[in-house]
Amino acid sequence: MRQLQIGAATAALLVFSAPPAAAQGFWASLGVGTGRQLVTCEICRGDGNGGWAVRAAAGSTLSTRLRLGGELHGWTDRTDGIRFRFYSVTPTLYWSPSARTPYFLMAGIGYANYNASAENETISASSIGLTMGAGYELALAGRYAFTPFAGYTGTFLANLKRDRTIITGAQVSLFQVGVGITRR
Amino acid sequence: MMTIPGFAGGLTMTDTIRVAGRVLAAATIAALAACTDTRGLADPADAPAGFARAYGIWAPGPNETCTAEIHNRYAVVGPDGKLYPTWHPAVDPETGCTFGHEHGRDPSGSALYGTVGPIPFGYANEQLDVWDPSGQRHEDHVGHKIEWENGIELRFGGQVGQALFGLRCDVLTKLHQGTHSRDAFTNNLHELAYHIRCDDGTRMHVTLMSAIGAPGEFVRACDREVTIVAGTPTPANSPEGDGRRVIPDRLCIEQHAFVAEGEEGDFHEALHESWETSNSVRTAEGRGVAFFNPYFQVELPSRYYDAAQPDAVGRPITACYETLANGYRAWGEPCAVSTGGWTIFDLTFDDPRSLFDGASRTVDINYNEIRNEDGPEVWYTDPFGRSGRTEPFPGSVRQFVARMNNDRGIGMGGPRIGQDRPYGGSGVHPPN
Repeated sequence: MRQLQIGAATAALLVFSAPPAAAQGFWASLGVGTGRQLVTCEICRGDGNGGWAVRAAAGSTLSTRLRLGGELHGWTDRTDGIRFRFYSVTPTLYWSPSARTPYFLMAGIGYANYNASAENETISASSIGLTMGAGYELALAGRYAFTPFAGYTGTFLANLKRDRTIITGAQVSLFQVGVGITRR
Repeated sequence: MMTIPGFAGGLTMTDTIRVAGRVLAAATIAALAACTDTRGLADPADAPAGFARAYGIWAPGPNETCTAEIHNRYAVVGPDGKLYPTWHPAVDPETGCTFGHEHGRDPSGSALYGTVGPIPFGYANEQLDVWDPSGQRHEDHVGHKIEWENGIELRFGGQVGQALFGLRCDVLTKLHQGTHSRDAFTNNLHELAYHIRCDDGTRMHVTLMSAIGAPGEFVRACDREVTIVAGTPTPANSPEGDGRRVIPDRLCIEQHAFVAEGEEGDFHEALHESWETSNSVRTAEGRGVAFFNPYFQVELPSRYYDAAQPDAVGRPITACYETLANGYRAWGEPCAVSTGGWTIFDLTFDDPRSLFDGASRTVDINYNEIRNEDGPEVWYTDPFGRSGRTEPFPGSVRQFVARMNNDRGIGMGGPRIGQDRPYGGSGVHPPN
């Protein structure tokens, strides 16, 4: 019963609180979630890996519907003694199509890095990364918003490297969903 | 016609018997000439060049119920227009008779069968006759063993590479692997057909005489640091190859099969063969365009090397009845099952009840590399896969190697195929 009460109070806070106060100036967002990462190439198994994902973003508000900033996405997983890591840093443009509904779409191009390592072997790739995603900003008290988000980050024509071995034409993808807090 | 125990696999029949077999084969063909085969096998009328040396050399022994005529129906015309024996089941489906030997897995289920078709047994041996008449090498019929698997996965690299990479392939192979006679103690040349096709375009169709290790010697199975010199090879000018033939000898039996009462002998350690091939297709300039090294493994062969025997052939089934000076015996399931718990006495090596029949085999696919990006796809090589040219020449064998380079610089390994697929039973017995 107590959990239900807490849940109801939280929901009421989310729905009835005021919208984010400022529509200009600096903003920042932090979130955590889960991500599914996939490596594809001519000889890749193409098996997906699930793991923890984080999102950090910050930038400047250009107008009521447009923001400019940067996204940092990170993901990691450890399976069968292998540590998998993926991160991307991308300058990103954010667009809020509706003045009434606080959702946004984002897209950016930047740098992405993938690494899989075990005791005696490391395979990695660095490449241009493309990020696309969407989020929803449910106003909390003050300048804060609760921000569910979903995103995709992918590399194109990456080279998977292992010592002197290079496997060309690889694509590393990360699909992630999570929740965060945004301050505007 | 009797098969002589311990007779060298390269010459399992006397010339007289061979002639008789050919006469029989000719009669068979004449009888079948008007027939249309519904199994995709050869119509003898389509063999303008006559019979290969490998054709018509099998004859039934006292344990077989099939005739040579029935056996000779399983034939295919080779690229040279000659008639060759090919795969057949251990039991003839039309008559229910038994052949007493098997050739492994029915190739018609392979995804490559539509491209490859029935495999002619002894084609590379036949070409060797032409290419080097002084270096002829002919093998017996029962040693031709087929194995295949669709949708295997090649692995790359170490722990991380194997987690990330995997390449799907279909593979079909045939090796002449006689494990019933003394042949492989000294002879390192064995016909190998190897076909593979993978999702990345890797594709090879290769037939050659695989030179497996050094002629005249083999490696002791239970101590691979030891090489045993076993005699003169056939042919005497057999080239040395990479790889090795790992074969058990008497020491392996005594060390691992013979144990005290109440213990269990390790028959895998005692009687395991590994024919580790290392093959390539090379141009006339010596440049390698294809490399592959499947390992062919056999459990419970029907012979081991025993220098104390007149023909150097020891029989595991005979060892089942022996007691060493220390009281040790070959206690264990293979002996117990074969002899009915030692209630059947004096079982001979060719008895169908013996589990030592060489019918339990696996193949490790291992490495498959192509460095043929400049082509062509078709090479005509000598019977050893060397001296590749773009035009055929006397004694040449047509090889297909995809125009590509699949060498990514990362170690490649294939899986083991054929586990849990023993080919025994159905009247199969040594020599097999």
